[in-house]
Amino acid sequence: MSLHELSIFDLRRRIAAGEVTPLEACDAALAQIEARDRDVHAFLDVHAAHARDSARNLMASGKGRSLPLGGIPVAIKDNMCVEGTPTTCGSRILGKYQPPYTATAVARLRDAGAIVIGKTNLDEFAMGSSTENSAFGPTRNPWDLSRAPGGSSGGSAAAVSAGMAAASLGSDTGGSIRQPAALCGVVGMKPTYGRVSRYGLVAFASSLDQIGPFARTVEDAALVLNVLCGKDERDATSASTPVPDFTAELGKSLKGVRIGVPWEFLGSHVDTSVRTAFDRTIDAAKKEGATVVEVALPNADFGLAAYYIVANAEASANLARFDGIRYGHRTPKAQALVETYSKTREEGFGREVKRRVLLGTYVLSAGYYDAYYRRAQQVRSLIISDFATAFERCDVVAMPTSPTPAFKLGDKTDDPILMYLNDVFTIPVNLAGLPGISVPCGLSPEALPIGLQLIGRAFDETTLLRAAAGMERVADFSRGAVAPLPKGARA
Amino acid sequence: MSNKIDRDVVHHLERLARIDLSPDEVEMITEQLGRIVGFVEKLQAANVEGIEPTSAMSHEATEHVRDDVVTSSLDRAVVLGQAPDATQEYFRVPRVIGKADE
Repeated sequence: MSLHELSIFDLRRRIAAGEVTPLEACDAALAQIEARDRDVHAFLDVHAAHARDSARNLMASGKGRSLPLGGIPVAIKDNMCVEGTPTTCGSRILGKYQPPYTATAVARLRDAGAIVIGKTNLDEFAMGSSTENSAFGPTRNPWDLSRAPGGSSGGSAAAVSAGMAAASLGSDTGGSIRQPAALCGVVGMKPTYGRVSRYGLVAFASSLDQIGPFARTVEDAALVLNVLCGKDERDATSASTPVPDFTAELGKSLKGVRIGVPWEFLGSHVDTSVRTAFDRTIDAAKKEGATVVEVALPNADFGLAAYYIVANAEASANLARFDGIRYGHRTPKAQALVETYSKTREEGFGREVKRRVLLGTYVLSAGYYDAYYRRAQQVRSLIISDFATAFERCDVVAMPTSPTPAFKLGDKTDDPILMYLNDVFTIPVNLAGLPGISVPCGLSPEALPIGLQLIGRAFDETTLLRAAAGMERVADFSRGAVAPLPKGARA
Repeated sequence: MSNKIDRDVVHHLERLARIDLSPDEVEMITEQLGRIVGFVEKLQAANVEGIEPTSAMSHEATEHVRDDVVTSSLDRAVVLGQAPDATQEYFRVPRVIGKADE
Protein backbone atom coordinates (compact mmCIF):
# COMPACT_ATOMS: atom_id res chain seq x y z
CA MET A 1 0.00 0.00 0.00
CA SER A 2 1.39 3.45 -0.91
CA LEU A 3 1.83 6.04 1.82
CA HIS A 4 -0.95 8.28 0.50
CA GLU A 5 -3.43 5.42 0.86
CA LEU A 6 -2.70 4.76 4.54
CA SER A 7 -5.18 5.67 7.24
CA ILE A 8 -4.09 8.21 9.83
CA PHE A 9 -3.94 5.39 12.35
CA ASP A 10 -1.55 3.31 10.22
CA LEU A 11 0.51 6.28 9.09
CA ARG A 12 0.90 7.42 12.69
CA ARG A 13 2.04 3.95 13.75
CA ARG A 14 4.75 3.98 11.10
CA ILE A 15 5.86 7.54 11.84
CA ALA A 16 5.97 6.84 15.58
CA ALA A 17 8.07 3.73 14.92
CA GLY A 18 10.47 5.76 12.78
CA GLU A 19 9.67 3.71 9.64
CA VAL A 20 8.25 6.72 7.81
CA THR A 21 9.23 10.38 8.21
CA PRO A 22 6.81 13.33 8.20
CA LEU A 23 8.55 14.56 5.04
CA GLU A 24 7.87 11.26 3.26
CA ALA A 25 4.22 11.40 4.32
CA CYS A 26 3.99 15.02 3.16
CA ASP A 27 5.70 14.29 -0.18
CA ALA A 28 3.39 11.32 -0.82
CA ALA A 29 0.36 13.61 -0.46
CA LEU A 30 1.96 16.31 -2.66
CA ALA A 31 2.78 13.69 -5.33
CA GLN A 32 -0.81 12.52 -5.29
CA ILE A 33 -1.99 16.13 -5.72
CA GLU A 34 0.39 16.40 -8.68
CA ALA A 35 -1.04 13.19 -10.15
CA ARG A 36 -4.77 13.67 -9.61
CA ASP A 37 -5.64 17.27 -8.95
CA ARG A 38 -5.40 18.40 -12.58
CA ASP A 39 -8.57 16.34 -13.06
CA VAL A 40 -10.23 16.76 -9.68
CA HIS A 41 -9.45 20.42 -8.84
CA ALA A 42 -9.90 19.91 -5.11
CA PHE A 43 -7.29 22.54 -4.22
CA LEU A 44 -7.38 26.30 -4.66
CA ASP A 45 -3.89 26.70 -3.22
CA VAL A 46 -1.20 24.13 -2.44
CA HIS A 47 1.27 25.13 0.28
CA ALA A 48 4.00 22.77 -0.90
CA ALA A 49 7.07 24.66 0.30
CA HIS A 50 5.58 25.58 3.65
CA ALA A 51 4.31 22.02 4.17
CA ARG A 52 7.74 20.55 3.51
CA ASP A 53 9.32 23.08 5.89
CA SER A 54 6.84 22.08 8.57
CA ALA A 55 7.65 18.42 7.99
CA ARG A 56 11.38 19.11 8.33
CA ASN A 57 10.79 21.08 11.54
CA LEU A 58 8.82 18.18 12.99
CA MET A 59 11.74 15.89 12.18
CA ALA A 60 14.36 18.27 13.59
CA SER A 61 12.49 18.70 16.87
CA GLY A 62 11.70 14.99 17.12
CA LYS A 63 8.05 15.91 17.81
CA GLY A 64 6.80 14.34 14.61
CA ARG A 65 7.07 10.91 16.18
CA SER A 66 5.24 11.69 19.40
CA LEU A 67 2.51 14.23 18.61
CA PRO A 68 -0.99 12.76 18.07
CA LEU A 69 -1.16 13.88 14.41
CA GLY A 70 2.60 14.23 13.86
CA GLY A 71 3.37 14.23 10.13
CA ILE A 72 -0.24 13.80 8.97
CA PRO A 73 -0.98 15.82 5.80
CA VAL A 74 -4.28 17.71 6.10
CA ALA A 75 -6.22 20.04 3.81
CA ILE A 76 -8.33 23.00 4.92
CA LYS A 77 -11.54 24.31 3.38
CA ASP A 78 -10.82 27.77 2.04
CA ASN A 79 -13.26 29.53 4.36
CA MET A 80 -10.91 29.04 7.31
CA CYS A 81 -8.08 31.47 7.89
CA VAL A 82 -4.44 30.43 7.72
CA GLU A 83 -2.19 33.41 8.46
CA GLY A 84 -0.16 34.70 5.57
CA THR A 85 -1.87 32.69 2.83
CA PRO A 86 -4.89 33.64 0.72
CA THR A 87 -8.39 32.84 2.01
CA THR A 88 -10.93 33.21 -0.77
CA CYS A 89 -14.16 31.52 0.40
CA GLY A 90 -14.50 30.59 -3.28
CA SER A 91 -15.43 34.23 -3.95
CA ARG A 92 -14.04 37.07 -6.00
CA ILE A 93 -15.03 39.59 -3.35
CA LEU A 94 -12.13 38.64 -1.07
CA GLY A 95 -9.65 39.55 -3.79
CA LYS A 96 -6.09 38.96 -2.61
CA TYR A 97 -7.06 38.88 1.08
CA GLN A 98 -4.52 37.23 3.35
CA PRO A 99 -5.83 36.90 6.90
CA PRO A 100 -3.52 38.21 9.63
CA TYR A 101 -4.47 35.34 11.94
CA THR A 102 -5.11 31.58 11.91
CA ALA A 103 -8.37 29.80 12.73
CA THR A 104 -8.33 27.98 16.06
CA ALA A 105 -9.30 24.67 14.44
CA VAL A 106 -6.31 24.92 12.09
CA ALA A 107 -3.98 25.99 14.92
CA ARG A 108 -5.07 22.97 16.96
CA LEU A 109 -4.28 20.63 14.08
CA ARG A 110 -0.86 22.21 13.69
CA ASP A 111 -0.16 22.07 17.41
CA ALA A 112 -0.92 18.35 17.20
CA GLY A 113 1.71 17.95 14.48
CA ALA A 114 -0.52 17.90 11.40
CA ILE A 115 0.92 19.42 8.22
CA VAL A 116 -1.35 21.81 6.32
CA ILE A 117 -0.77 21.05 2.64
CA GLY A 118 -3.29 23.44 1.12
CA LYS A 119 -6.68 25.08 0.90
CA THR A 120 -9.63 23.40 -0.76
CA ASN A 121 -12.39 24.48 -3.11
CA LEU A 122 -15.93 25.21 -1.97
CA ASP A 123 -19.20 26.73 -3.05
CA GLU A 124 -18.86 30.49 -2.63
CA PHE A 125 -19.19 31.29 1.09
CA ALA A 126 -20.21 27.64 1.60
CA MET A 127 -23.52 28.27 -0.16
CA GLY A 128 -24.27 25.24 -2.28
CA SER A 129 -24.37 21.47 -2.50
CA SER A 130 -22.11 20.76 -5.47
CA THR A 131 -19.02 23.04 -5.30
CA GLU A 132 -20.17 24.42 -8.66
CA ASN A 133 -20.78 27.82 -7.06
CA SER A 134 -17.04 28.40 -6.62
CA ALA A 135 -15.79 31.48 -8.45
CA PHE A 136 -12.71 29.42 -9.38
CA GLY A 137 -14.42 26.56 -11.20
CA PRO A 138 -15.97 23.34 -9.93
CA THR A 139 -14.31 20.40 -8.21
CA ARG A 140 -14.91 17.03 -9.87
CA ASN A 141 -15.87 13.83 -8.09
CA PRO A 142 -12.78 11.57 -7.89
CA TRP A 143 -14.99 8.50 -8.54
CA ASP A 144 -16.45 9.91 -11.76
CA LEU A 145 -15.06 13.13 -13.21
CA SER A 146 -18.33 13.99 -14.95
CA ARG A 147 -20.06 14.27 -11.58
CA ALA A 148 -20.11 16.75 -8.70
CA PRO A 149 -18.37 15.94 -5.42
CA GLY A 150 -21.24 17.47 -3.44
CA GLY A 151 -20.79 20.58 -1.40
CA SER A 152 -20.19 22.97 -0.09
CA SER A 153 -16.99 21.33 1.23
CA GLY A 154 -16.51 19.44 -2.05
CA GLY A 155 -12.78 20.16 -2.29
CA SER A 156 -12.09 18.83 1.20
CA ALA A 157 -14.12 15.67 0.53
CA ALA A 158 -12.49 15.07 -2.86
CA ALA A 159 -8.98 15.65 -1.47
CA VAL A 160 -9.39 12.89 1.12
CA SER A 161 -11.24 10.62 -1.30
CA ALA A 162 -8.44 10.81 -3.88
CA GLY A 163 -5.68 10.27 -1.30
CA MET A 164 -4.37 13.84 -1.64
CA ALA A 165 -4.71 14.31 2.14
CA ALA A 166 -5.23 11.91 5.02
CA ALA A 167 -7.82 14.21 6.55
CA SER A 168 -9.33 17.60 5.93
CA LEU A 169 -11.53 20.20 7.56
CA GLY A 170 -14.91 21.29 6.30
CA SER A 171 -17.71 23.41 7.63
CA ASP A 172 -21.31 22.20 7.84
CA THR A 173 -24.25 24.61 7.97
CA GLY A 174 -26.90 22.37 6.38
CA GLY A 175 -24.96 19.27 5.35
CA SER A 176 -21.83 20.74 3.79
CA ILE A 177 -19.55 18.10 5.37
CA ARG A 178 -21.82 15.05 5.41
CA GLN A 179 -23.29 15.32 1.90
CA PRO A 180 -19.95 15.63 0.03
CA ALA A 181 -18.53 12.88 2.27
CA ALA A 182 -21.37 10.62 1.09
CA LEU A 183 -20.92 11.53 -2.57
CA CYS A 184 -17.13 11.03 -2.44
CA GLY A 185 -17.12 7.80 -0.39
CA VAL A 186 -15.40 9.13 2.75
CA VAL A 187 -16.33 9.71 6.38
CA GLY A 188 -17.50 13.24 7.22
CA MET A 189 -18.61 14.46 10.60
CA LYS A 190 -20.42 17.50 11.92
CA PRO A 191 -19.86 17.61 15.68
CA THR A 192 -22.40 19.03 18.15
CA TYR A 193 -22.95 22.78 17.77
CA GLY A 194 -20.32 24.41 19.95
CA ARG A 195 -17.87 21.49 20.06
CA VAL A 196 -15.31 23.11 17.76
CA SER A 197 -14.27 26.75 17.89
CA ARG A 198 -15.27 28.79 14.87
CA TYR A 199 -12.73 31.54 15.42
CA GLY A 200 -11.24 32.16 12.00
CA LEU A 201 -14.08 30.46 10.10
CA VAL A 202 -15.80 32.95 7.80
CA ALA A 203 -19.37 33.01 9.11
CA PHE A 204 -22.32 31.93 6.95
CA ALA A 205 -25.17 31.23 9.43
CA SER A 206 -23.96 31.61 12.98
CA SER A 207 -26.64 29.53 14.72
CA LEU A 208 -25.92 26.59 12.38
CA ASP A 209 -22.24 26.62 11.28
CA GLN A 210 -19.93 23.97 12.67
CA ILE A 211 -16.42 22.83 11.69
CA GLY A 212 -15.68 19.12 11.40
CA PRO A 213 -13.34 16.52 9.89
CA PHE A 214 -13.23 14.40 6.74
CA ALA A 215 -11.23 11.17 6.87
CA ARG A 216 -11.32 7.78 5.19
CA THR A 217 -12.23 5.84 8.35
CA VAL A 218 -14.36 6.53 11.41
CA GLU A 219 -11.35 5.92 13.62
CA ASP A 220 -9.37 8.58 11.73
CA ALA A 221 -12.25 11.05 12.08
CA ALA A 222 -12.24 10.37 15.84
CA LEU A 223 -8.48 10.96 16.01
CA VAL A 224 -8.87 14.35 14.33
CA LEU A 225 -11.89 15.21 16.47
CA ASN A 226 -9.86 14.52 19.61
CA VAL A 227 -7.61 17.40 18.62
CA LEU A 228 -10.27 19.81 17.31
CA CYS A 229 -12.76 19.95 20.18
CA GLY A 230 -12.83 22.14 23.26
CA LYS A 231 -13.52 25.58 24.64
CA ASP A 232 -11.86 28.55 22.94
CA GLU A 233 -11.89 31.93 24.64
CA ARG A 234 -12.05 33.52 21.19
CA ASP A 235 -15.40 31.91 20.32
CA ALA A 236 -18.13 32.63 22.86
CA THR A 237 -20.29 29.88 21.32
CA SER A 238 -17.67 27.16 21.86
CA ALA A 239 -18.70 24.69 24.55
CA SER A 240 -16.89 24.04 27.82
CA THR A 241 -18.20 20.45 27.92
CA PRO A 242 -15.29 18.08 28.68
CA VAL A 243 -13.74 16.38 25.66
CA PRO A 244 -13.36 12.60 26.05
CA ASP A 245 -11.15 10.29 23.98
CA PHE A 246 -13.45 9.74 21.03
CA THR A 247 -11.68 6.53 20.02
CA ALA A 248 -12.42 4.85 23.36
CA GLU A 249 -15.50 2.86 22.35
CA LEU A 250 -14.85 2.29 18.65
CA GLY A 251 -13.97 -1.36 19.13
CA LYS A 252 -17.30 -2.25 20.78
CA SER A 253 -19.82 -4.23 18.78
CA LEU A 254 -23.26 -2.94 17.80
CA LYS A 255 -24.82 -5.31 20.32
CA GLY A 256 -27.37 -3.41 22.38
CA VAL A 257 -27.16 -0.20 20.32
CA ARG A 258 -30.66 1.07 19.54
CA ILE A 259 -30.89 2.55 16.05
CA GLY A 260 -33.95 4.67 15.29
CA VAL A 261 -35.08 4.97 11.68
CA PRO A 262 -37.69 7.54 10.62
CA TRP A 263 -39.10 5.31 7.85
CA GLU A 264 -41.99 7.63 7.11
CA PHE A 265 -39.71 10.65 6.53
CA LEU A 266 -37.49 8.60 4.20
CA GLY A 267 -40.52 7.44 2.21
CA SER A 268 -40.83 9.85 -0.64
CA HIS A 269 -37.37 11.32 -0.87
CA VAL A 270 -34.92 8.51 -1.64
CA ASP A 271 -33.42 7.12 -4.85
CA THR A 272 -33.70 3.32 -5.20
CA SER A 273 -29.94 2.68 -5.16
CA VAL A 274 -29.58 4.69 -1.94
CA ARG A 275 -32.53 2.95 -0.32
CA THR A 276 -31.16 -0.48 -1.23
CA ALA A 277 -27.73 0.23 0.30
CA PHE A 278 -29.34 1.81 3.36
CA ASP A 279 -31.71 -1.11 4.01
CA ARG A 280 -28.93 -3.64 3.50
CA THR A 281 -26.66 -1.88 6.01
CA ILE A 282 -29.44 -1.57 8.61
CA ASP A 283 -30.12 -5.32 8.22
CA ALA A 284 -26.43 -6.08 8.65
CA ALA A 285 -26.37 -3.96 11.81
CA LYS A 286 -29.28 -6.02 13.16
CA LYS A 287 -27.29 -9.19 12.54
CA GLU A 288 -24.46 -7.75 14.66
CA GLY A 289 -26.89 -7.28 17.52
CA ALA A 290 -28.22 -3.74 17.04
CA THR A 291 -31.89 -3.12 17.79
CA VAL A 292 -33.75 -1.20 15.10
CA VAL A 293 -36.79 0.82 16.13
CA GLU A 294 -39.04 3.11 14.16
CA VAL A 295 -39.01 6.75 15.22
CA ALA A 296 -41.10 9.68 14.01
CA LEU A 297 -39.78 13.08 12.98
CA PRO A 298 -43.14 14.61 12.06
CA ASN A 299 -41.75 18.11 11.50
CA ALA A 300 -38.60 17.13 9.61
CA ASP A 301 -40.40 17.73 6.31
CA PHE A 302 -40.52 21.43 7.21
CA GLY A 303 -36.77 21.49 7.83
CA LEU A 304 -35.70 22.55 4.37
CA ALA A 305 -38.08 25.52 4.26
CA ALA A 306 -37.19 26.60 7.81
CA TYR A 307 -33.51 26.29 6.99
CA TYR A 308 -33.62 28.48 3.90
CA ILE A 309 -35.24 31.22 5.96
CA VAL A 310 -33.04 30.98 9.06
CA ALA A 311 -29.74 30.37 7.24
CA ASN A 312 -30.25 33.09 4.67
CA ALA A 313 -31.50 35.63 7.19
CA GLU A 314 -28.31 35.09 9.17
CA ALA A 315 -26.22 35.10 5.98
CA SER A 316 -27.66 38.44 4.87
CA ALA A 317 -26.36 39.95 8.12
CA ASN A 318 -23.03 38.08 8.18
CA LEU A 319 -22.16 38.97 4.59
CA ALA A 320 -22.79 42.67 5.17
CA ARG A 321 -19.12 42.94 6.15
CA PHE A 322 -18.00 42.38 2.55
CA ASP A 323 -18.33 45.95 1.40
CA GLY A 324 -15.00 46.83 -0.19
CA ILE A 325 -13.75 48.97 2.68
CA ARG A 326 -11.52 46.93 4.98
CA TYR A 327 -10.28 44.08 2.81
CA GLY A 328 -10.75 42.35 -0.50
CA HIS A 329 -12.13 43.72 -3.74
CA ARG A 330 -13.30 47.33 -4.16
CA THR A 331 -15.00 48.46 -7.34
CA PRO A 332 -13.05 51.02 -9.34
CA LYS A 333 -16.34 52.26 -10.83
CA ALA A 334 -17.94 54.13 -7.94
CA GLN A 335 -17.40 57.67 -6.70
CA ALA A 336 -19.58 57.82 -3.58
CA LEU A 337 -19.76 55.53 -0.55
CA VAL A 338 -23.09 53.75 -0.96
CA GLU A 339 -22.41 53.21 -4.63
CA THR A 340 -19.06 51.68 -3.62
CA TYR A 341 -20.84 49.11 -1.46
CA SER A 342 -23.47 48.25 -4.05
CA LYS A 343 -21.12 47.96 -7.02
CA THR A 344 -18.42 46.12 -5.06
CA ARG A 345 -21.02 43.56 -4.01
CA GLU A 346 -22.44 43.34 -7.53
CA GLU A 347 -18.98 42.59 -8.93
CA GLY A 348 -17.75 40.43 -6.06
CA PHE A 349 -20.63 38.09 -5.29
CA GLY A 350 -21.75 35.21 -7.50
CA ARG A 351 -25.31 34.36 -8.38
CA GLU A 352 -26.17 31.98 -5.54
CA VAL A 353 -24.78 34.34 -2.91
CA LYS A 354 -26.81 37.24 -4.33
CA ARG A 355 -29.92 35.07 -4.40
CA ARG A 356 -29.48 34.04 -0.78
CA VAL A 357 -28.58 37.45 0.59
CA LEU A 358 -31.62 38.92 -1.16
CA LEU A 359 -33.87 36.14 0.17
CA GLY A 360 -32.50 36.68 3.67
CA THR A 361 -33.08 40.41 3.32
CA TYR A 362 -36.64 39.75 2.17
CA VAL A 363 -37.61 37.47 5.07
CA LEU A 364 -36.23 39.95 7.59
CA SER A 365 -37.82 43.00 5.97
CA ALA A 366 -40.71 44.98 7.40
CA GLY A 367 -44.03 43.13 7.22
CA TYR A 368 -42.59 39.68 6.58
CA TYR A 369 -40.58 39.00 9.74
CA ASP A 370 -43.37 37.20 11.64
CA ALA A 371 -44.67 35.28 8.64
CA TYR A 372 -41.27 33.87 7.74
CA TYR A 373 -38.44 34.34 10.20
CA ARG A 374 -40.34 33.92 13.46
CA ARG A 375 -42.34 31.01 12.08
CA ALA A 376 -39.17 29.29 10.86
CA GLN A 377 -37.67 29.63 14.33
CA GLN A 378 -40.79 28.09 15.83
CA VAL A 379 -40.52 25.19 13.39
CA ARG A 380 -36.93 24.85 14.51
CA SER A 381 -38.18 24.35 18.08
CA LEU A 382 -40.55 21.65 16.83
CA ILE A 383 -37.71 19.81 15.09
CA ILE A 384 -35.57 20.00 18.23
CA SER A 385 -38.39 18.41 20.21
CA ASP A 386 -38.97 15.73 17.52
CA PHE A 387 -35.37 14.59 18.00
CA ALA A 388 -35.66 14.72 21.80
CA THR A 389 -38.68 12.42 21.58
CA ALA A 390 -36.87 10.08 19.17
CA PHE A 391 -33.88 9.81 21.52
CA GLU A 392 -36.16 8.50 24.27
CA ARG A 393 -36.40 5.33 22.18
CA CYS A 394 -32.99 5.06 20.55
CA ASP A 395 -29.28 5.90 20.92
CA VAL A 396 -28.71 7.09 17.36
CA VAL A 397 -30.99 8.00 14.45
CA ALA A 398 -30.11 6.59 11.01
CA MET A 399 -31.02 8.05 7.62
CA PRO A 400 -29.41 8.18 4.21
CA THR A 401 -27.05 11.16 4.04
CA SER A 402 -28.18 12.26 0.60
CA PRO A 403 -31.23 11.16 -1.41
CA THR A 404 -29.09 10.33 -4.47
CA PRO A 405 -25.51 9.35 -5.30
CA ALA A 406 -23.30 11.94 -7.03
CA PHE A 407 -25.14 13.79 -9.81
CA LYS A 408 -23.73 15.10 -13.09
CA LEU A 409 -22.05 18.50 -13.08
CA GLY A 410 -24.48 21.08 -14.45
CA ASP A 411 -27.56 18.93 -13.80
CA LYS A 412 -29.01 21.05 -11.02
CA THR A 413 -27.37 24.43 -11.50
CA ASP A 414 -30.41 25.99 -13.19
CA ASP A 415 -32.86 25.01 -10.50
CA PRO A 416 -32.00 26.21 -6.99
CA ILE A 417 -34.84 24.30 -5.32
CA LEU A 418 -33.80 21.00 -6.93
CA MET A 419 -30.28 21.65 -5.63
CA TYR A 420 -31.59 22.43 -2.12
CA LEU A 421 -33.38 19.04 -1.98
CA ASN A 422 -29.95 17.38 -1.71
CA ASP A 423 -29.89 18.47 1.91
CA VAL A 424 -33.29 17.26 3.05
CA PHE A 425 -31.78 14.68 5.46
CA THR A 426 -28.84 16.71 6.73
CA ILE A 427 -30.55 20.05 7.42
CA PRO A 428 -32.74 18.97 10.38
CA VAL A 429 -29.53 18.00 12.24
CA ASN A 430 -28.11 21.54 12.00
CA LEU A 431 -31.43 23.05 13.01
CA ALA A 432 -31.32 20.89 16.16
CA GLY A 433 -27.59 21.49 16.82
CA LEU A 434 -26.89 17.74 17.01
CA PRO A 435 -23.82 15.76 15.93
CA GLY A 436 -24.09 13.82 12.66
CA ILE A 437 -21.74 11.63 10.67
CA SER A 438 -21.80 10.16 7.18
CA VAL A 439 -20.22 6.73 6.63
CA PRO A 440 -19.84 5.03 3.23
CA CYS A 441 -22.30 2.12 3.14
CA GLY A 442 -22.19 0.80 -0.42
CA LEU A 443 -21.93 1.50 -4.13
CA SER A 444 -24.68 2.25 -6.62
CA PRO A 445 -25.03 0.18 -9.82
CA GLU A 446 -22.88 2.89 -11.53
CA ALA A 447 -20.17 2.29 -8.87
CA LEU A 448 -20.81 5.58 -7.09
CA PRO A 449 -20.45 5.70 -3.30
CA ILE A 450 -23.50 5.95 -1.06
CA GLY A 451 -23.47 7.41 2.46
CA LEU A 452 -25.37 6.47 5.59
CA GLN A 453 -25.95 9.20 8.15
CA LEU A 454 -26.09 8.65 11.88
CA ILE A 455 -27.27 11.36 14.25
CA GLY A 456 -26.51 11.42 17.98
CA ARG A 457 -27.54 13.19 21.14
CA ALA A 458 -25.90 16.55 21.80
CA PHE A 459 -22.32 16.04 23.03
CA ASP A 460 -22.60 12.25 22.84
CA GLU A 461 -20.16 11.87 19.97
CA THR A 462 -18.73 8.84 21.75
CA THR A 463 -21.88 6.76 21.21
CA LEU A 464 -22.31 8.22 17.72
CA LEU A 465 -18.77 7.24 16.69
CA ARG A 466 -19.10 3.77 18.21
CA ALA A 467 -22.26 3.19 16.16
CA ALA A 468 -20.61 4.69 13.07
CA ALA A 469 -17.60 2.37 13.43
CA GLY A 470 -20.05 -0.52 13.70
CA MET A 471 -21.83 0.53 10.51
CA GLU A 472 -18.50 0.88 8.76
CA ARG A 473 -17.65 -2.70 9.78
CA VAL A 474 -20.88 -4.23 8.50
CA ALA A 475 -21.28 -2.04 5.39
CA ASP A 476 -20.61 -3.36 1.89
CA PHE A 477 -17.81 -0.87 1.19
CA SER A 478 -14.05 -1.31 1.26
CA ARG A 479 -13.13 0.48 4.50
CA GLY A 480 -10.69 3.36 4.06
CA ALA A 481 -10.44 2.98 0.27
CA VAL A 482 -9.03 5.75 -1.91
CA ALA A 483 -11.27 6.44 -4.93
CA PRO A 484 -10.12 4.26 -7.85
CA LEU A 485 -8.86 6.10 -10.93
CA PRO A 486 -11.93 6.81 -13.05
CA LYS A 487 -12.26 6.54 -16.81
CA GLY A 488 -10.96 9.64 -18.55
CA ALA A 489 -8.46 10.47 -15.80
CA ARG A 490 -5.23 11.96 -17.08
CA ALA A 491 -3.04 10.33 -14.45
CA MET B 1 -50.34 40.52 2.88
CA SER B 2 -48.94 40.05 -0.58
CA ASN B 3 -45.94 37.75 -0.97
CA LYS B 4 -45.62 38.32 -4.66
CA ILE B 5 -42.04 38.89 -5.74
CA ASP B 6 -42.02 41.30 -8.65
CA ARG B 7 -39.38 43.60 -10.10
CA ASP B 8 -40.26 46.40 -7.68
CA VAL B 9 -39.70 44.11 -4.70
CA VAL B 10 -36.35 43.00 -6.10
CA HIS B 11 -35.30 46.61 -6.71
CA HIS B 12 -36.22 47.38 -3.09
CA LEU B 13 -34.15 44.39 -1.90
CA GLU B 14 -31.20 45.57 -4.00
CA ARG B 15 -31.23 48.82 -2.06
CA LEU B 16 -31.69 47.18 1.35
CA ALA B 17 -28.92 44.63 0.73
CA ARG B 18 -26.61 47.08 -1.06
CA ILE B 19 -26.23 44.81 -4.07
CA ASP B 20 -26.70 46.20 -7.58
CA LEU B 21 -28.10 43.72 -10.10
CA SER B 22 -27.81 43.78 -13.87
CA PRO B 23 -31.13 43.82 -15.80
CA ASP B 24 -30.64 40.11 -16.61
CA GLU B 25 -30.05 39.30 -12.97
CA VAL B 26 -33.18 41.21 -11.95
CA GLU B 27 -35.26 39.07 -14.33
CA MET B 28 -33.69 35.83 -13.16
CA ILE B 29 -33.78 36.63 -9.47
CA THR B 30 -37.37 37.85 -9.64
CA GLU B 31 -38.41 34.51 -11.08
CA GLN B 32 -36.26 32.40 -8.74
CA LEU B 33 -37.04 34.30 -5.54
CA GLY B 34 -40.71 33.93 -6.40
CA ARG B 35 -40.31 30.18 -6.61
CA ILE B 36 -38.19 29.96 -3.45
CA VAL B 37 -40.68 32.04 -1.49
CA GLY B 38 -43.43 29.77 -2.85
CA PHE B 39 -41.43 26.79 -1.62
CA VAL B 40 -40.94 28.14 1.90
CA GLU B 41 -44.66 28.94 2.06
CA LYS B 42 -45.15 25.32 3.11
CA LEU B 43 -44.19 26.45 6.61
CA GLN B 44 -47.65 27.95 6.89
CA ALA B 45 -48.90 24.35 7.26
CA ALA B 46 -46.85 23.76 10.43
CA ASN B 47 -48.72 23.94 13.69
CA VAL B 48 -46.66 26.44 15.68
CA GLU B 49 -49.30 27.73 18.04
CA GLY B 50 -47.80 28.41 21.46
CA ILE B 51 -44.32 27.29 20.34
CA GLU B 52 -41.39 29.44 21.46
CA PRO B 53 -39.00 30.37 18.64
CA THR B 54 -35.41 29.10 18.79
CA SER B 55 -33.28 32.07 17.85
CA ALA B 56 -29.87 30.91 19.04
CA MET B 57 -28.35 27.56 19.70
CA SER B 58 -26.57 27.13 23.00
CA HIS B 59 -25.95 24.10 25.12
CA GLU B 60 -24.09 26.06 27.78
CA ALA B 61 -25.68 26.08 31.23
CA THR B 62 -24.33 29.52 32.10
CA GLU B 63 -23.06 32.50 30.18
CA HIS B 64 -19.33 32.53 30.19
CA VAL B 65 -17.41 35.77 30.43
CA ARG B 66 -13.71 35.90 29.67
CA ASP B 67 -11.33 37.14 32.36
CA ASP B 68 -10.86 40.89 32.11
CA VAL B 69 -7.20 40.98 31.19
CA VAL B 70 -5.44 42.92 28.48
CA THR B 71 -4.16 40.76 25.63
CA SER B 72 -2.46 41.71 22.41
CA SER B 73 -4.56 42.47 19.34
CA LEU B 74 -3.76 42.42 15.65
CA ASP B 75 -1.04 44.73 14.38
CA ARG B 76 -2.62 47.86 12.90
CA ALA B 77 -0.25 48.14 9.95
CA VAL B 78 -0.88 44.52 9.01
CA VAL B 79 -4.65 44.98 9.19
CA LEU B 80 -4.61 48.22 7.20
CA GLY B 81 -2.32 46.51 4.72
CA GLN B 82 -5.32 44.42 3.62
CA ALA B 83 -7.49 47.47 2.87
CA PRO B 84 -8.14 48.56 -0.72
CA ASP B 85 -7.36 52.10 0.45
CA ALA B 86 -5.85 53.31 3.71
CA THR B 87 -4.02 56.32 5.01
CA GLN B 88 -1.67 56.17 7.99
CA GLU B 89 -3.98 55.02 10.80
CA TYR B 90 -7.30 54.86 8.94
CA PHE B 91 -9.32 53.06 6.30
CA ARG B 92 -10.05 55.55 3.56
CA VAL B 93 -13.49 55.58 1.91
CA PRO B 94 -15.03 57.55 -0.95
CA ARG B 95 -16.92 60.67 0.03
CA VAL B 96 -20.13 60.05 1.95
CA ILE B 97 -22.24 63.15 1.19
CA GLY B 98 -22.41 65.70 -1.55
CA LYS B 99 -21.26 65.41 -5.11
CA ALA B 100 -18.62 62.94 -6.07
CA ASP B 101 -16.15 65.55 -7.33
CA GLU B 102 -12.70 65.38 -5.80
